[in-house]
Amino acid sequence: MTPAVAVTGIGVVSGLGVEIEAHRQALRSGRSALRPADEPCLRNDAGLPIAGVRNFKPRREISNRTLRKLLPPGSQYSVSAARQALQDAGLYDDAERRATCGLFFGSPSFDLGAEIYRGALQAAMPSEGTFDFARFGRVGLGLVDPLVIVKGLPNAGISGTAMEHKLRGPNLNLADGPVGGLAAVAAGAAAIRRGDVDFVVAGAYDSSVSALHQLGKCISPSLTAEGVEPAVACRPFALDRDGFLFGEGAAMVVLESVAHARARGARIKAQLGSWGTSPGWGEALGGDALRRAVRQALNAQGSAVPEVIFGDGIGTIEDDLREAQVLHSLFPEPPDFTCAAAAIGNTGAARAVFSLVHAVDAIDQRYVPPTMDAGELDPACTLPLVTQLSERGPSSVLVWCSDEGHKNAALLLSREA
Amino acid sequence: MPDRIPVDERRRVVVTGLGLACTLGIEVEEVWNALLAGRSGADLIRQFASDSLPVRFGCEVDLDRFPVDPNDEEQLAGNRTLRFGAWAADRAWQDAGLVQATFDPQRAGVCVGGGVFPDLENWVTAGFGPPGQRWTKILDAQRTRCQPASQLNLTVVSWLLSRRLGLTGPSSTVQAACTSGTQAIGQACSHIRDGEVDIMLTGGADSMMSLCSVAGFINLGALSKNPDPQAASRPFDGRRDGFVMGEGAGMIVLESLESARARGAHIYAEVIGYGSAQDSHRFTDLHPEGQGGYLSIRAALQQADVAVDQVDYINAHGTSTVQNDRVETLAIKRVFGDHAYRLAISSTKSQVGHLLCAAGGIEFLFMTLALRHGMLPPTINQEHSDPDCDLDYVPNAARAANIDVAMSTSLGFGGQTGCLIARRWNETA
Repeated sequence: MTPAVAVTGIGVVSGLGVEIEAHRQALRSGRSALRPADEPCLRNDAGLPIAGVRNFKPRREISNRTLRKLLPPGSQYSVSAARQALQDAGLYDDAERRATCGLFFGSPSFDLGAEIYRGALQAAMPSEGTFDFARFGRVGLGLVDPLVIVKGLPNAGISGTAMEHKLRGPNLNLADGPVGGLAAVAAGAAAIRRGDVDFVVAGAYDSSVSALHQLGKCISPSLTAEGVEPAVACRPFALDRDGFLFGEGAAMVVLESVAHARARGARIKAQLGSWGTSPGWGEALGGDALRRAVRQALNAQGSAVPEVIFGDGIGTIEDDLREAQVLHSLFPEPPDFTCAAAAIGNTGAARAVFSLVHAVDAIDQRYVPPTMDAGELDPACTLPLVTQLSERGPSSVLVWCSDEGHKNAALLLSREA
Repeated sequence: MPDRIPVDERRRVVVTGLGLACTLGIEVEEVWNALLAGRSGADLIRQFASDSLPVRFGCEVDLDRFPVDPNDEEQLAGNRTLRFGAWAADRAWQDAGLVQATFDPQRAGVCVGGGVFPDLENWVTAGFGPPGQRWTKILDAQRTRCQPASQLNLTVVSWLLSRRLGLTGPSSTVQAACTSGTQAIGQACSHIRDGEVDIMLTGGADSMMSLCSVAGFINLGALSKNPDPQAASRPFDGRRDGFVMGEGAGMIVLESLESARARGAHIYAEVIGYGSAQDSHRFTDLHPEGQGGYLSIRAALQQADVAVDQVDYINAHGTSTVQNDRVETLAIKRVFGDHAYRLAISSTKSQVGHLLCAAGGIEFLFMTLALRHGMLPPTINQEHSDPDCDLDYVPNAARAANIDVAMSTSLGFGGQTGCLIARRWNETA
């Protein structure tokens, strides 16, 4: 008999708050963390709205001074969210037991701005447009930060979290965009089911709010260009939606077997169900691959329709349309649908795990957070969007995530049986 | 400890295909022969003008060896990591006899370790202008020249391989620094053991052979400054002074035993154990007692259900840095006790350099070949003893050895560690 896996702890750092209670209250009340950015950006001198993390105090959150110096913001958030989740699960205080904890993270691909090389590279350019390799060796090299490789490590979050909290268990870091975090959670659950580890902290983090991070997306039409009021600039499924806005943060859960949780008297917030994942290309980008991932998850667990779906809803024309079409094609009577990108921005690699944490909290605290009301729905996206806080706690939910159709994942959760 | 699924109730995982690209060649047989001959692939870097740098050599892959395919040019966007990965994946898939085979694509997936480092020096030719204009200039260059998303987005590595081979099962890119390839293989095994899939393409691909990354490693003090490139990578030797950067890919096809048998596939070896752990110490310094390495080896042995004295050979991480080789040796002694002195250990990084995120993939591949052929590749450049490194490192010359159980270890920046154990394939087992 394969052991059932429970969620017993959650932790978040987001634009809505740097701990779960503040985040939860803001989410429940339908507030958005989107505000004008502090620095000008490419398309908008006033700054694109972003959902940046505020009031995060590294000194309070991270005791290791070297980590505070080396870790980029997203990784710092992961350190904090992991501690919160372990504390919430009641697994933080016993250092010996904590050391056996596994870590299963989704991370951004590369967390280093080109700015860090700016001085060195400029020094090698005596005139604009030419690069002198000899000058780089003579002058530029000395200006390269000796820790640049360390600062850019894509596994900085998982490593920093292990170092700060002295966790030494099995681990895995997936750099798979928004889907990677959910895949990491599934891998952590599988490790528990196999008996490789008693408990793990699993989740994801990202911080894509800097100008350089926005650079790539500015080229594509997927980033909203002409935001109106920042708080309603991201308008999932709305007729006039025009793209997403960046957010940042970290979302973590603690997983353990139900038997392990019960044996130590832990509160079980939710139980993980089955999982599906599939990549897509060509026509599958239109939704076939996401559909395949959802079907895998549903088929593995029987055909029960979940009560609520926690999806992406990032506010781009194509992504929202894909989700709406998949929902209708899979469920003749679509379940309620909610998403958080309008409140916390598109949190990149952390996106799916934010949805997961919201789903766990919905089951545990018996509510469904609203999708921010963005006005008239697109007739092509007529889905049962939850636009008002619902106090009817679901007992079964589905979390899904699609990275522009390229990678897709779905995970079922339920109230403890 | 949690209750484990007993070994005899687990799905068995076997190796059925191999493919690679590294400085010694792009075909498995030619590279294996070069390894056994003790050849070093280190030479002056040719990709950029390295002559003004204090370290100007590495283990580069010769791109001229690759056939030119216009479709590839478009798909791979000039990205060396993708190019090496795609080549090695294709070869492994062919080697496994899967190109024409019939299988359910949803029961086959990809899990690879991958690394990318943006070629910032190319970006910069667009100019870092004055504040307020600099991004616009870079943006203009990006519009016309390259795709920043594919340069910076690791998820592309596994996605592209899934698309290339038409696989719709799990598709993921592992990033655990120098342990990426090993952890990817371990995770791929888990997907098969757990019954999610029957076939996985796994391993690693990486190239950090660009000016900015080489400069970063130079200033970090991690690279060897030995004036003789071919003598620079000398793992466990008393005069080692750093690693030699390599690049390339090592790809492996793993398969459930039932699947391999059902289609009559050639089997190289059986993967019997995997373990991972965290040093939880510092980013670039290993735990002084090798805690992460020790824990991952122990975890792998436990999963494999083999006693320490059953292990015959280790393809070690052996980077040729002063610290890594001393600490890794210590971790091996802690796990194996007296048996550490009876084991054979070699570091193939002495010949192909450090392939970083791809290291675990190609080293597992070499370990598989050692099991298959009963030959141990040497650790070359062994000239000076180090009292802290006093084990049998198969110095300078390949050796015939009838080995049954072998291990491949990785210790990465950030403290993530991994260990894989495989057994020589015996059809009657």
